[in-house]
Amino acid sequence: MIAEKTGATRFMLFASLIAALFLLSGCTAMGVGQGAPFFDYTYLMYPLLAGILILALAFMFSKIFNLQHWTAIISDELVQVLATGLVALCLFGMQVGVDGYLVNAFTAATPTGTVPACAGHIGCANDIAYAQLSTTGVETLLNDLHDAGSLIGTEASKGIYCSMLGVGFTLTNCSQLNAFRGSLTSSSFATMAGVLDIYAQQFLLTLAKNFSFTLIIPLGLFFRCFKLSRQAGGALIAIGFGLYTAYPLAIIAGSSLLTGYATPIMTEPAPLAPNALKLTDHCDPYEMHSDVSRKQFDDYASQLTDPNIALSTTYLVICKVILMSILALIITLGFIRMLAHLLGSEIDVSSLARIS
Amino acid sequence: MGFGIPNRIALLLLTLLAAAPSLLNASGMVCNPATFNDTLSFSAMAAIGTIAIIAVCYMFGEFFQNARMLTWSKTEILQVFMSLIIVLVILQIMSSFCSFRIDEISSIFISSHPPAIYANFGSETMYDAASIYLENLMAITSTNMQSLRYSLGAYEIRTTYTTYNCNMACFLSLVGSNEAPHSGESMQLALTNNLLSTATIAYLSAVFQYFTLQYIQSGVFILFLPIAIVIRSAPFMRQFGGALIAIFLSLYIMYPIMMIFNASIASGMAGTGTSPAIKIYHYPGCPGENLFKQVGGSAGVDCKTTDGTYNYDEEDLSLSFGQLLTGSMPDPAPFTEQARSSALIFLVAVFLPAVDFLVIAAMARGISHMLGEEVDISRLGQMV
Repeated sequence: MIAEKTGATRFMLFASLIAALFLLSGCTAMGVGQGAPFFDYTYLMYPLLAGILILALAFMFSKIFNLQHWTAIISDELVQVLATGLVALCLFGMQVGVDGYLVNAFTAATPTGTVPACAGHIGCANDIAYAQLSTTGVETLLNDLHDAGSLIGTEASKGIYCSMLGVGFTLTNCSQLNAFRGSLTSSSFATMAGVLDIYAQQFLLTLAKNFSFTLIIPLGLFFRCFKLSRQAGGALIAIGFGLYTAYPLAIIAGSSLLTGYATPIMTEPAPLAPNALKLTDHCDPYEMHSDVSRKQFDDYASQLTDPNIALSTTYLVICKVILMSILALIITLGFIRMLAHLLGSEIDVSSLARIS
Repeated sequence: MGFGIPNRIALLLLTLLAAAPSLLNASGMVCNPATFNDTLSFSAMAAIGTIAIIAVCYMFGEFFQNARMLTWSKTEILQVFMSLIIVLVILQIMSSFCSFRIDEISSIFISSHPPAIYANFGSETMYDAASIYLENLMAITSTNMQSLRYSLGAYEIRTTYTTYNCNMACFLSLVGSNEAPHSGESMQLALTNNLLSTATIAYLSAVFQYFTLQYIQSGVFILFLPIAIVIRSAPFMRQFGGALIAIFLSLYIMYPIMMIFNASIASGMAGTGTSPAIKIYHYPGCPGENLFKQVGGSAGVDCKTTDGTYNYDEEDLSLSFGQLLTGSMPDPAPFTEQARSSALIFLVAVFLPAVDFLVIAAMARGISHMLGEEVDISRLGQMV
């Protein structure tokens, strides 16, 4: 009798917990962002039903063949299926919390302090992170560097020639400007790495937004229902959820950390002015006075080594783009690893390093 | 009242018989009939051979009244049946993979916008669907490399083009100035070369995955199953047999699943909007572009074949004398667009397989742990 009561009490507790999760998650009040993914409960039901069905079959076999030790295993597995359902509900509640509350908190810390239009909608964190990456301006910097490199290359190629009866000379009078092309190319390489970083992050955000809650996590839940594939399921859930929540939050928080507070930790250097890297005048290959070419060379050298230009480009490429992207990825991978551990899976560190 | 042992054995046999027809069906796929029937025969022979050895041991045990031998025989006979049941379950799943159609899978597990690569191949099975995905991946990575090669060629021609301006008394002697108007683009040349390296890695990764699947499909590892049955019963070797089964399961069941999973994800990675997220520049078309498209959904890729004057084709890079005189140079594809498409293709060809590897490794570890051995897949991965 006591045991029955205890069982009933446990069941009631479990049911209450699920009901509380539903209510606390605020799922009924949460709207869906435009074009944003929607968590369909069928994604949760299918794997759980499949898991329970297979366990029921196993239970039947255990009774037919009188395999007593199977009963204990099946009981454990049933608990795991229910735990998987609980995990799904928790993830859903967390998703709502991230998109509804945490994003508001982070964006409120920005200098403008405006609450985004998507606030409270599913997929909002992702949209904000994507928009922040789009406005870094690193693509513009790369185009500026290309323009400057093209122009200086054209100027540096200018020369004069003179020949009579097949004998003569060529003098590339402006070739001293070639000295700047190496450093411009180096800057371009660093900037290109930044541009690729931004694109890759945006594609990862798109992946997370479109597939985390519609494919990756449901598949993970399905796998997690079975003992054989529990670790794989845990890994998939952790990857999907980490990319959906931790990754955009790390991007938004990183941006806020840099310059987002009311009293910023540091002042963000002004972006590079358009054409700041371009030559101000053209090289004349017929010019015979070396003072003129030297002056042009010195002027451009001072322009390139202007601390404002160096500071602004270094800050943008190295600090704001590359460093912050590494930081966001490390935080996300750490989160994924810990969540996977919590869900009964072990993600190999060397494999994670391969991803990063 | 209890369910007698003969009845239980009869039920078990009936279950095995019920599984048999679907196993025959399995011989249609990975599994051409010859290979698969051989595997079944090998498995049966391995089981019978092992049982015979155990029976001999049991006989000797009884003869010499050796308790250790008797205990070992009783334990191992059960393990042989366990191995057989595991093999049957694996073959049953493989049989299902030979029967499931990709359009059915899409309608159940994938969103309402299935990948465009399966639009005309709805009746294909799981293994073929995985193969179709990898063929498209190879095609798009190759297209991207060709597009970058075209740009490299265009930059090479442009940077070496020099004009001679005769602005003095040319009728007496050749005097004037010279200028290479596009020589500054050597910077883009270097950067595009760098992009080509990235694209090459993506291409090699796609080819590697394709051939891995081909090896799996052609049944290279299928002999692992009969070997595992024998090895699991050999003294001190049960763990190794379990590890073989785990590796087999990961390759034949998880790998195709993860490839189809990748196909679904890749179809929406370029975004689900109506305007294409990336542009690829290649003439006469962009093989593999459907990889980033969905049926009735994402526009994904915009394939550009010409800039109006020049086709984006390596063969069109040779210039006529007239074009040289007028300075009409081929236009390279826009650099940032190429960087964007290369980044996406790299993620699909290199990042997604890394995620797959994590999941497959976790699966193999779980199975092998259950069968008694911890397979260190990460070390295997490092070797690969």
